[in-house]
Amino acid sequence: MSALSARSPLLSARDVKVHLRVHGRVVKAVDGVDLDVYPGQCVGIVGESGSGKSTLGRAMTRLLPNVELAELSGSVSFCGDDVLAMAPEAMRELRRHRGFSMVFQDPLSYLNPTLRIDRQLAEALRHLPDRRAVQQKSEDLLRQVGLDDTARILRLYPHELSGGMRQRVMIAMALAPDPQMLVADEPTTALDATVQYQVIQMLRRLNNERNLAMLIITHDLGMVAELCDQVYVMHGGKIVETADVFTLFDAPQNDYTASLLAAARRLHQTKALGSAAMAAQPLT
Amino acid sequence: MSIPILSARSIVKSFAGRSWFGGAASAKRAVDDIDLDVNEGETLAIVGESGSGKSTLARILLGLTKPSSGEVAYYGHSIDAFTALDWSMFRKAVQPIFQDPASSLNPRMRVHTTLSNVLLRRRLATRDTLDPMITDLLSSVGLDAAQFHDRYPHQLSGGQQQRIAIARAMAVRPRLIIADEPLSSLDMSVQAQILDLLVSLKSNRNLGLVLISHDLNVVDAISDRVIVMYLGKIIEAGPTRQVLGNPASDYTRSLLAAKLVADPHLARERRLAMDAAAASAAKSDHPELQSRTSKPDLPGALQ
Repeated sequence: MSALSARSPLLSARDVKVHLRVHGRVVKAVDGVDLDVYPGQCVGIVGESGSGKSTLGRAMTRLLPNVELAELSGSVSFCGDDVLAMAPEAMRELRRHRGFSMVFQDPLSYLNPTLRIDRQLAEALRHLPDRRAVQQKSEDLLRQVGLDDTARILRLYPHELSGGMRQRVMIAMALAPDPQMLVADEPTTALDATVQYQVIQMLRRLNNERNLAMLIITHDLGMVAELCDQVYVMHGGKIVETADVFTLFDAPQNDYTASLLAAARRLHQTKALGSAAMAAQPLT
Repeated sequence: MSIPILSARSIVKSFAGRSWFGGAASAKRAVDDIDLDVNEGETLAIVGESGSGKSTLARILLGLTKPSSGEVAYYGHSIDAFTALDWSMFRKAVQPIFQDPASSLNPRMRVHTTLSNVLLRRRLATRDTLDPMITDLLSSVGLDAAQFHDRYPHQLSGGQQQRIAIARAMAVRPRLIIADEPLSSLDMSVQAQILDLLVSLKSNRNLGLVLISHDLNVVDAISDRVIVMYLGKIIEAGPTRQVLGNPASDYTRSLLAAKLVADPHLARERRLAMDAAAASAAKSDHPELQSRTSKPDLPGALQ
C-alpha cells in the first residue's frame, strides 16, 4: 500500500454529486463521493441495486444517459485533467488514446448485430496505418482475452458467439485503445458460473500483467473478494466505508457493510463444500 | 417409502431445429431421458448452467409444456390421463415461483386483489374471512398487511414482489412448489432473506420444493437432494452433502471450483493452489493432473 500511496492517483473523484430530477422530485443518486484509483490498482465499488454505484461509474466516465440532471458537481480528475469539465473532443481523445474504457453487463446490446467481429474491432483500431496492422492487433487482442481461435472468431457475427465469448470480445474492444484503466459495470453478471470464473481470472491476469488499473462495479462480494485490492461500499448514494479488501472482510467498521457481509456469508456458507471446492480445478 | 408427490420417468423434450432458409432441420434434445422423484417435505435442487434444460424440465413438471416422450405422475397418477377436474386440483397443489417477480404479478392489481382472487376462486375464503386470511398470508412472508395490501407491484421492491409471489403460491396450501431461479433477480441481502423464508415455510408445512438454480451456494443452503444437469442429461444425482462434498463427475467439480467465495483469504489461497497445480502439471506431465485441468469428457464443448 505504501508504494501505491506514494504515487499520485490515476483517477481521483472529489465530492461528486449526481442529483437527478425524476417526476419533479430530486433523487440524490450520488451524493458527495470521494474515490481514488491508483495505477495498476483494482478498485471495487459494491452496493445493492439503487445504491448509485452504476450512476457514479457513468458520471465518472461521462456516460450518463440522457436524463434530467438537477445537479452534477464535484471533480473527477484523470491524469490531472478534469473529466467533468472536459470538452467533448478532448473526452473522445482521452477515450481513444491511453485513457479509460468501459465494459458493461450485457455484451449483446453493445455489439452491432449486423457486423462481423473483425469490423467492430477495426473501428476501435482506426489509428493503425493499414489493414495488416489492424488484423495483427485484432488477433493479438483476442488472444489477450483468452480467445485462441482468432481467425475463425473474427469472421463471426455476435449472435454466433456464446455469452462468455461475447463478453471477452467486448473486453478486447475495450483494450484496443491501450487504456490505462478499465471501468467494468457488472461484467460477469450475465454469465454462467464457470464462465464467470474464467472471465474474472482473465481480468485478474490483465490487471497483473499489463498493470491495467480497474474499477469494478458489482453487487457480488464474491467477485470483490476474488479480484479487488481496494473496496468502496456504497449505500444510498454515499460511500459508507472504504478499506483494502482484507481489512473490509475481516473487520468491517460500518453496520451496513457488516450486514452485506453477513448476507453474503449466509449465501456463500461452505457447509458441504470447502475441501472439495478447494481441491478442484476449474476449467480454464 | 411413501409415494412421491411428483415423479418423472424417461422425460424427453426435443425442439425442432430451424435452419436459416427452411432447410433440413435437426431436432435438439433440451431434456434427454430424465428420471426424478420429489417426496413430501423434501427439497430437490436441479443445478445446471444456461442451456442445460433445467427450465424446460421445470415447465414439464408443472404441466405447462408437454414432453416429447416420457411420463409425469402426481402421486402415481399420470398427468396424461388427467381430466379437467384433475388439472384444477393439480394446478392448486403444485405452485410455481418464477425468477422475475415483476412479470409474474399483474401490474394492474393491488396486492390485496392479487391474493383475494386466488382465495375466492379456490373457495378457500369467504368475503368475511378474506381480510384476516390475507393479513396472515402477508405476515407469513414477513410483510405488514396494513402497509402493503393496497399497493401495486410497481410500488414494491424486487424482494417485496417476490414475497408477494410466494404468498400467492402459499395461499392455496400447495403440496409442492416449483421455483425456477427464485433468487437470481434479487439483491444479495434480499436473497438471504427470501432463502430463509423458503426454508421456514417448507419446514413448517411439510412442503415439497423443487429448486432450480445455477447458484451452488443457494442449493447448498437449502436442498436435501441435488440433480446436476448438463445439455439435457443428468450428470450426477444424490444427497446434496454427498454431491457437493464429494462430487463424482468432472462437471460438478468444475462447477464447484468456479463458485466464488466471499472471503479474500480463501480466494487467494485457492489461486495460489491453482497456480502451483498448473505449474507442477506443466512440469511433470502427470497424467492425473493433466486430466483434471482438461475439460470433462462430455458431449459438446464447454465455453
